[in-house]
Amino acid sequence: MSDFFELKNINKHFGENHVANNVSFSVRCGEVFSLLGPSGCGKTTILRMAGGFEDPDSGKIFLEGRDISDLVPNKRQINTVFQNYALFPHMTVWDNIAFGPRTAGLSEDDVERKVSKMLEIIRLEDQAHKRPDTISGGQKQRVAIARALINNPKLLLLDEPLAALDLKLRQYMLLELDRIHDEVGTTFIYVTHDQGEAMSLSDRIAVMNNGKIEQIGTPAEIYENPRTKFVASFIGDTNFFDGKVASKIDAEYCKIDMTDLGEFPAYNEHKLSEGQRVTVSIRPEKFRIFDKKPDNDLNSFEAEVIDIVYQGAQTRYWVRAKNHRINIVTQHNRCYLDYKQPTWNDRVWIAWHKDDVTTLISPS
Amino acid sequence: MKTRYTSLFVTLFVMVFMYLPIVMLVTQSFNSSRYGGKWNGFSLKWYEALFNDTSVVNAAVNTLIIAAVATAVSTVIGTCAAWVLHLYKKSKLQSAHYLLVFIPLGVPDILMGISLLLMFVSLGMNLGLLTVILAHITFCIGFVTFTVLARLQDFDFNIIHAAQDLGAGWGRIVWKILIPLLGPGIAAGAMMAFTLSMDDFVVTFFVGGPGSTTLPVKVYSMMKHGPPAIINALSVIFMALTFTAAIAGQFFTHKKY
Repeated sequence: MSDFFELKNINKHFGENHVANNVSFSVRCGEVFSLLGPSGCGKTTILRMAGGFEDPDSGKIFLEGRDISDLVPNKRQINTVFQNYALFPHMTVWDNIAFGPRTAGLSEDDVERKVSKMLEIIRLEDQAHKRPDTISGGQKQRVAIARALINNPKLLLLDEPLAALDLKLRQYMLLELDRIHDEVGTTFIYVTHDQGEAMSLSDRIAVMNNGKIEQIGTPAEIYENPRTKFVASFIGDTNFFDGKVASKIDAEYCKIDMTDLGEFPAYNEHKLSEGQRVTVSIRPEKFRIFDKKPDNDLNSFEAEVIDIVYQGAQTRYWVRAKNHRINIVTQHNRCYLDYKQPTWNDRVWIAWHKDDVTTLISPS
Repeated sequence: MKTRYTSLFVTLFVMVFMYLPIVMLVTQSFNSSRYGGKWNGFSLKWYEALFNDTSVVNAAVNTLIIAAVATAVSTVIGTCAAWVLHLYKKSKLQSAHYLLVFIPLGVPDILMGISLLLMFVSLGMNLGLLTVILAHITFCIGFVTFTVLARLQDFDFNIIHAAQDLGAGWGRIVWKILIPLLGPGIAAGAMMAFTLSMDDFVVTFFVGGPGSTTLPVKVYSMMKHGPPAIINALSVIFMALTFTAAIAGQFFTHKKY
C-alpha cells in the first residue's frame, strides 16, 4: 500500500536560494509528523507547497496515492493553521469557525451542528460570541485549529502554531494539541523550530537544514542516534570529538582514537574499518563525574573543572581535558551523591559507557 | 486641582478662538441687517436671495460634480497605489513610488496651480470643468493613498490565505474579508478627498475657466462686490457640507470593523 501523504523529490528556489533541495518524505495516516529545523531551513516553504500556496520547481506531491501537485489550495482536502493564527478579526469566534462550511454552501442547520461540535472539541463553547481580539492567545490558537479542522481535512498543516505563546501556555497547548489530535484522528504535519515541541508531540520528526532533510525518525531515534553532526547539535546539547578508528575489537565494537585523550572502545554502529575518520558525539548527560578513576569497564579520562552552572533541576559542569572543553550535566539526586560535589579547579575523572557514544561519519 | 483648571481654561480658550468666528458667521447669516454688526432680528432672506441667484446654484452644482468625480477617481487610483506600495514595500522601485506619491502633499498649492496651468496651456487644453477635475484628482490621490496605507499596515495578509485555504474564491474574499476590513479605511480616504476637493480655492482658481466656477471661487468673487450677507449664508451651507464629509471621514477612520 502506498503512503498516505508523500512528497517526492521536491525542489524549490527563491532566486539564488535553494530552499528545498530534493526533499522527499512520506507521512503515515493518523500520525503527527514534525518538520524541525532552524529558521530559514525551508520547512515553512515545504508546508506552503503541501498546502498549495507555493508551487515546487520540480517534484510531485501525493495524497492517498493521488497526485495533487497541480491542485489549488481549496481542492486539496488539506487545511492549514497559520502562524499568528490569521483569524478574521471582524468576525466572532463562531463565525470564524463557520467560515469553511458556509463557504462550502452548507445549510445553516448543518453549519450550526458542525460548529457546536468543534467548539466542544476545543472547549470554547462559552467564548463563541467573542471577537478574536478579546480572547487569549491560547484560545485564539484553538479557534484557528477548529476553523481548519471543521472541513474534515485529510491532513492538517500547522505552521509554528505555538511560537507566539509564552512558555507555560505553550506547554499547556502542547497537551491540548495532543488531546485534539487523539480526538479527531486527523494526520498532522507540524512545523517548528522548537525541538521540545517536536519531541513531545511527534510520532516522527524530519530534521531539516539548508533545504535538505538530514534525518527522519522517532524522537528517540533522532536524539539517541543522530545521523549527522547537524542533527546531533541541533537536537539537544552534545560534545564533539574528532577521531579515527584505531582498531576493531570484535564485530560490534571498535577502539576509537579520540585525539589527545586516548583510545576508547565504542559501539561500531556504521561497521567502520581501521583508519577511518569519525566524529564522536557524546551527550552531556551521558557523562558522569568521579573523584577517582572508576572501574575499567567504563571509559574515562582525567579533567579539570573550569566552570559550574547551577540550573535548579540539574547542574552543568564545564571541564577541560587537554584541548577539549566538555559540557556535562548531572542531576541532583541523593542516590547518586556517593561522592563529594566537585568544585572549581578540582581534578576529576570523566566517565561514560561505550554504548553511549554516537559515531558520525563526516561527509568527505 | 490647579493643573486641571489650567488645562480646562486653555482648552476653552482654544475652542473659543477656533469656533467663535464660525459661530458669528452662522448667526450673521440669519441677521436681517444688511451689514452685520447690529442684530436686526431673525431672517432667512439671505438664504432666499442665495437660492434665487442662479450663478451661485451653478457654482454649487459644479463643486459637487467636481468633488464627486475627483473623489471617485482618486479613491480608486489611491487605493490601488496603497495596495501596491504595501505589497511590494521591500522593492527599491517602491521607495521611488512612495516619494512620488508623497511629494504632491508637500508642494504648496500655488506651485501646484501654476504648474498644472502651465501644463494644460501647453497641451492646448481648454480650461474648464475637465481641467479642474484632473487637477483635483492629482492632489487627492496622495491623501487617499496614505489614509488607506495606514489601514493596510494593520492588515494581516495571511487571513487572505486562510480564507483561500477554507475554500473561498476571490468574490467571497472581497465581499466577506476585504470590504469589511478595508472598507472603512477606503471610505475615510474618500471623505478626505471629497472635503479637500470641495474646499480647494488656489488650484481651482488657476486651472478653472468660464463655466467651472466652484463655490470657493464664487465666494472670492462675491467678496469684491456682492452683499456680504449673502456670502455668509453661502458659507454656512458650504460649511455644513464640508463638516458632514469631515465628520463622516473621522467616523470611518476610527471605526473598528
